[in-house]
Amino acid sequence: MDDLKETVEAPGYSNEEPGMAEPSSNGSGQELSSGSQKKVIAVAISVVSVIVGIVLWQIIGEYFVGNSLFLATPLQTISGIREMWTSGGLQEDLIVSGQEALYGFLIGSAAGIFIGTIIAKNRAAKRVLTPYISGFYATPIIALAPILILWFGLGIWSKVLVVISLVIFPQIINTEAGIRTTDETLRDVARSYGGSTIQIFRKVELWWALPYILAGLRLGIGRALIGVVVGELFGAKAGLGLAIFNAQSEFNMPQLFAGVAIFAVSGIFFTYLLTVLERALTPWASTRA
Amino acid sequence: MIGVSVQGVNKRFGGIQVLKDVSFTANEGQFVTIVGPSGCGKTTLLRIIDGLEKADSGDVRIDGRPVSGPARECAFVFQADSLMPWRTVWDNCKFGLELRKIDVQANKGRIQELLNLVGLRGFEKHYPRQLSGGMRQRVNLARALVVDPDVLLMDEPFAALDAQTREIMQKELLRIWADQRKTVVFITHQLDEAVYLADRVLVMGRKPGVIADEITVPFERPRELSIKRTEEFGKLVERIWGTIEGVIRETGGI
Ligand SMILES: Nc1ncnc2c1ncn2[C@@H]1O[C@H](COP(=O)(O)OP(=O)(O)OP(=O)(O)O)[C@@H](O)[C@H]1O
Ligand SMILES: [Mg+2]
Repeated sequence: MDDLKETVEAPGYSNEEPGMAEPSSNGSGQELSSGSQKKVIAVAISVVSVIVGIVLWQIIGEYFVGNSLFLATPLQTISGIREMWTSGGLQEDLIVSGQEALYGFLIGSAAGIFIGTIIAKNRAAKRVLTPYISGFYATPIIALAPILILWFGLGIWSKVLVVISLVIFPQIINTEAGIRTTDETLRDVARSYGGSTIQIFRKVELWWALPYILAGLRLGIGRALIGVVVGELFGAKAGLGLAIFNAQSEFNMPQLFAGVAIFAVSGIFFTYLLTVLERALTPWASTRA
Repeated sequence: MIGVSVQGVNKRFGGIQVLKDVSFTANEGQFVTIVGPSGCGKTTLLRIIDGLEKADSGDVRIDGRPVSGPARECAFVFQADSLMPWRTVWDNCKFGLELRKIDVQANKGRIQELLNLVGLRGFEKHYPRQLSGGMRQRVNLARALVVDPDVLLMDEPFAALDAQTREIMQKELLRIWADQRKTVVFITHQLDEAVYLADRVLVMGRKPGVIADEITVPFERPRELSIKRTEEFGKLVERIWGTIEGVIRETGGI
């Protein structure tokens, strides 16, 4: 097995895009007027869709299910959030879970990028590490969570480790794939201008891999949140995941839904943030909807 | 003075001899084109001159100095689209300066001049994907010229262009070359392009790649595109075509 599996969300290097641009002194920010109008409409449709969904949820919960032990309505969920906030538990849980997710995400992503780079650049390292990475990537790594909790206790660091274990492998694989698939002609261009190995890495390979790395980060967000919830399920002193399980054991549907909703909203928010980051960092990639 | 000198170069890839005893020289400021059937080793030869590839044996010199790796005197214009997609036209043009640790700030005027020369004023902030194929190819050329090479190595730079754009680019290249007086080694499959541009045309044979014929082009410069329609031009093209046909027949098939 020479190549790592590729789970890359292939970034668009559509060099062959038709349509010549008109010359202009202020460069590329041109297709605005009609483009921004389309964008507003697209966003409006999404917003309306979400509002309709929430209203439907409210109607079904209130008139069709009518049992808050089974399905909490949006309004009940909001009051659940308010209760958790006034009792002071929510703030603490948010801080704990937030730390677990953030530290795990940052450390896991950084380590993933680092290891992915090493593997891409060093054959021996690739030979040594590939069986482990392929193996870990193929197993449901979340099964390690109970072991990590046993080993590292109920504090936040056991959960940070769970998150790292989930975030790191897709990032390793994406980074490695990004660097490995660098167009050889572009490397030759750099070589031809006397580029050193380090210059080729910094000025060609890293840029080529950037969309892959950002896609890896985007994948990592969802996985980090999963890591927090599942990690806290297997043992925690505080945290939003723990709060969900406590709410479940008390049949407190509004608070259970509140916990889930907060996770959902954070997931959506941070994924959006990353999409913005992707646009800002890779303005050359073809504009995706 | 000699710009490029290649003496007795041999090159194998695995068991296959790609270049056999290839020798030629291009004097300083001379425009040499190389034609030959696909796979005869043209790109390999150019890569050896640029120091991207090592010859198994033989002697390659740029401005009299032996080549041992990519030389500062050379700039390579690649066969394939080779702009960095993440760099704007402007940033692509300064790529060579950056890698060679030459002050970009001090060369701003020069970059702008070259962009104007290749007709890309106003496109500085565009990304390659926003340009047509011909424009991208002109950025390729500008990027190579920015480092002010003595020797310009061009590998089928106009292959991807349509016939009209190609002719315009040929004319422009000659204009730029007249202006800057580089030594040029230019590979092409288009025989009329080879004759129109060159002081000398080298015809390569294959299996293994050798220099099969060498033709001096007698036309005065500057050359109008209309010389392509003259009888003398047609005869030269025919002679080259005959040599290549012979080569293909001897080595079997395309
Ligand atoms: N890195 C390499 N490894 C192995 N074989 C190679 C390599 N590069 C080129 N070759 C072989 O060398 C021969 C010459 O290749 P080259 O690219 O120089 O041909 P060419 O004349 O430029 O062809 P074309 O006109 O199609 O571009 C081909 O048979 C090719 O398969
Ligand atoms: Mg070639």
